Amino acid sequence: MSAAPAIFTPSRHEAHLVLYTVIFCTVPHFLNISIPTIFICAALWAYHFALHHWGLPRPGRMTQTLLGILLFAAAIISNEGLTVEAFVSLLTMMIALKLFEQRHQRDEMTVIILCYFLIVSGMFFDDSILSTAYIFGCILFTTAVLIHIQFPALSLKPSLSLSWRLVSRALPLMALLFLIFPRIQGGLWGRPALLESNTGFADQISFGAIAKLAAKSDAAFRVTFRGDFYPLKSQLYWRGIVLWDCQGDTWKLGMRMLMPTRETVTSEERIDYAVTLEPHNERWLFALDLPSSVESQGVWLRGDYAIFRQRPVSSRLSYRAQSVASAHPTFHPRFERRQALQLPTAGGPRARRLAEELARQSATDAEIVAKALDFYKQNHFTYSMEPPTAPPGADAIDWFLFESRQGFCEHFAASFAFLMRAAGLPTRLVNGYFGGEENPLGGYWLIRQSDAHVWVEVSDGERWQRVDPTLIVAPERGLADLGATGGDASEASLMSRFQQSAFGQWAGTLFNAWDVANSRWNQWVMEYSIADQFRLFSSLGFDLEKLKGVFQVLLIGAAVVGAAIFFVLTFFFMRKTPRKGDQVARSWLLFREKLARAGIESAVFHGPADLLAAVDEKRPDLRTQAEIITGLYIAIRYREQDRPETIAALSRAVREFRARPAAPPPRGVAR
Amino acid sequence: MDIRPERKNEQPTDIATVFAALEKRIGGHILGKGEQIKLALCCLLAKGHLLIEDIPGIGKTTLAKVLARVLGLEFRRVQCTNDMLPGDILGVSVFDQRNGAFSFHPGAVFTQILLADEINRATAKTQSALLEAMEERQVSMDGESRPLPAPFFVVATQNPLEQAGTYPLPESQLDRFLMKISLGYPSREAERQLLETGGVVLADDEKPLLNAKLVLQLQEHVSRVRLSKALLAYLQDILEFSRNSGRFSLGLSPRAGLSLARAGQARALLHGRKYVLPEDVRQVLPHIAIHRLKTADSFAAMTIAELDAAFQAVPVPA
Repeated sequence: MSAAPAIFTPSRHEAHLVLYTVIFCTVPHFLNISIPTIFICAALWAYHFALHHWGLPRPGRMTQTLLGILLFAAAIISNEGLTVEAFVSLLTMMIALKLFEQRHQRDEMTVIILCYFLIVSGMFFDDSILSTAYIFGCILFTTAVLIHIQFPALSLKPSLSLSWRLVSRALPLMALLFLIFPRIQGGLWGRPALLESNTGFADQISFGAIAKLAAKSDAAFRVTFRGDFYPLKSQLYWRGIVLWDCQGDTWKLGMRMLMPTRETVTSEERIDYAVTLEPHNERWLFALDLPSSVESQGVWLRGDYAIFRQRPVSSRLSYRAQSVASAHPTFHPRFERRQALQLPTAGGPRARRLAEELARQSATDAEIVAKALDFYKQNHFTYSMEPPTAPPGADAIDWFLFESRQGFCEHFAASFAFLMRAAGLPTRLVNGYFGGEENPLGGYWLIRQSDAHVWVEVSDGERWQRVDPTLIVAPERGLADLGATGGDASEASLMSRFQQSAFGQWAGTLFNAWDVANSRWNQWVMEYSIADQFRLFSSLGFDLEKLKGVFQVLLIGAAVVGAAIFFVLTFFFMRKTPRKGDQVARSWLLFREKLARAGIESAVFHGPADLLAAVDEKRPDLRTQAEIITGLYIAIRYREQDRPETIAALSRAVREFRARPAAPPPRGVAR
Repeated sequence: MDIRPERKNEQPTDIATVFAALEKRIGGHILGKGEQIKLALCCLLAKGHLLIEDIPGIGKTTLAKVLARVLGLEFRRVQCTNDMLPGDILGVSVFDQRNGAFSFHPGAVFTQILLADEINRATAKTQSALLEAMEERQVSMDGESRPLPAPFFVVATQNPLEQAGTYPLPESQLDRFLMKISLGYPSREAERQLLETGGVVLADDEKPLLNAKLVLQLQEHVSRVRLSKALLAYLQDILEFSRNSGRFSLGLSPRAGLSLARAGQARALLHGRKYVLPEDVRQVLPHIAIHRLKTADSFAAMTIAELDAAFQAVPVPA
């Protein structure tokens, strides 16, 4: 095939194709890069399009350099620190800028090859089936454009089919490498942390904060129960963190003090299950209340049965756990009483009065709890996802308990815990998830972000008892699996009616199937680890640990043999290729490059006579030299007088050809 | 040099001079159409046939007549109509009672330059008879093949506007024409001269520059113009591009490839060269492709400029 031309003027068609490739590969990153970066990229793309479409002026080298420095600074400023986002922002902007620097065909290729890096970096952010499919599409298109640029005679459609053939032939090799290529667990330096946390779940509860948790229906985690255990939905309290520190309307983690070692819960009704947790960039895990053990590295069960991990969960994590549904945590008055009764000095005066009255009327602690629950039941509290916010100046707790009486789990749990502490009962808040949805196709339970829930644990003196005031007000939340029937036409019942309709059931099945596909994808592809690899090899009859040395020898041997084959073949081909042919083409290309530097641009479709005409027009002073070189070239190529001395004469003439780079004003010479 | 002009006072020393003289003489009659004259000469020298598509009164017939006169070739003209029969062009066998045998009366086709005016008005049957004669350079009738005179050059014309009652030539028959050109309106200067002289008048005593034998020699020269390996590679790149680029509904046929090579040779000889350069090929390419290629997306015909631009994607090998 023809060699790359020395002087490069990309056709409009080609320039647009490269631009489309860049856009195609950058679009999925819009979620990850900063807003200014998006605008800068869009502006650069638009100008690039206009430049080739309407022939606007191309920015000079100086402008490009300045812009490059500016954009580099912008990438540093608009991102916080050395995050993946900062690198991707920098990459996208530099690629957009590189579009303008197209002096040779290799510049075009550079852009395309940088696009591959862009594609790969997409995997840092999202590895779902859809984004993997998109990435596959990107690779196909980018490869097709790469082919098209190399062989302009091949239009886009055949390029695409060639690209498809190339990629599909690479797939088996990819699968093989995926399975057997030695894995480095967690990357060499660990993956840099992502900025955005992927959950509405926080380490504190703010009373009256806007209800944003319920909006997200993303998966929080998936659970597969082992054995023939089938849970009741009302049993599914997924314990997360325990909040101790009450600051009025805000509850925080608190409790930095050492916890006593928890006692082992012994019971026969142990529930065994596996959790696949989506990354949430926090240090805690979730388990069914009450967890007895968790099997994962760098994880410990705290005294309050919250599960913590040494490092944040920055990628999908699978672990096994056991729980005992009927167990209750022991109350340790020595360590926990002071913390569990802590209240701010001010705030909630009416609530405190109510609590004192409840305490006075009751004989036992249990009675206080019952009476407090009665207070919620009898005073027309309603469950609402969008409760009114307290007017400024009003006490948030009092306003909720005595005025608005509308809220969701956080309001009920936090106000109830406040009442209990004010009444002198040790109390703590538990933040986690409640419920879940069974996926019969996949045989697992899906717990979404919208299942986030807060409940209360009150001590009866010996053990912590779970109290969920939300269920008093909104029992349908707990009984949804039994087909709750609210008499009114509330949103929930509308929803359940929809779910029971034929279309609803069909849509439900469809959703379940999609979620199973995602779950299997995560399980089998994205979480394939070094341990799985070892298991695969041992199932094939290899013990990797023992065979390590052998493998190393084999690997080095294969590398040496491969290199030897490569060199021998290269040597063979180098000798076979007629050097004179190469030399003529090289000399000719060098000549065209020299002419281009002297201000005589020519396109790929220009032949020797066209070139000579261009010299005549623009640099008549170079005419004689150019005529000699062109004559020699024509003699070799088109009159087939390719004697060695002619070829030597051509390469010497081209070598000696000198043109002053800055042309004197040609008009004066021409006249 | 085997070329010997008839008259002493015009004695070109080489082929380029012959062509310069030819172009000058023809250009003296057909004003301001240098490029079209070159293309028509190319076509004739490459042993091809020419299709001219243009509106009436633009000088199509005059071009054919002047060519014939200046080259010293025999000229005939048929005005195609839809009631024309193949015999009207090829000739008929008539029973001669005097010697009791059939005798052949040759038709208009037995000439050296044939002008087939408005060829798309003839029926498909007549068209195909003519086109067969063009390709085979002989007429087969009553089991006997009669060779046509050499050189044999058909100039067919078409009117692009009036389509009622016409039989448009199918692609397979268009492929038999080496080139399709159109003349276009004359320039203001050329038209002024035309109006001043009162039209093209061919004087009866105008002596031809060449004769049939010399034209045949020139054609022989054309076929010996060098087609180097590098040029064939370029030519093949062009053919491949027309077939694989996806821009055209149908690529160039091998016959079109041969035509392109021969037209390139003729063009090179016209410039006085004995070897073909990529520029020669590029200059004739659009005129060879225009009646053969259609756009892939809309199946529409393309203009010369569009074709030229499309083929700019094919790089000249270094």
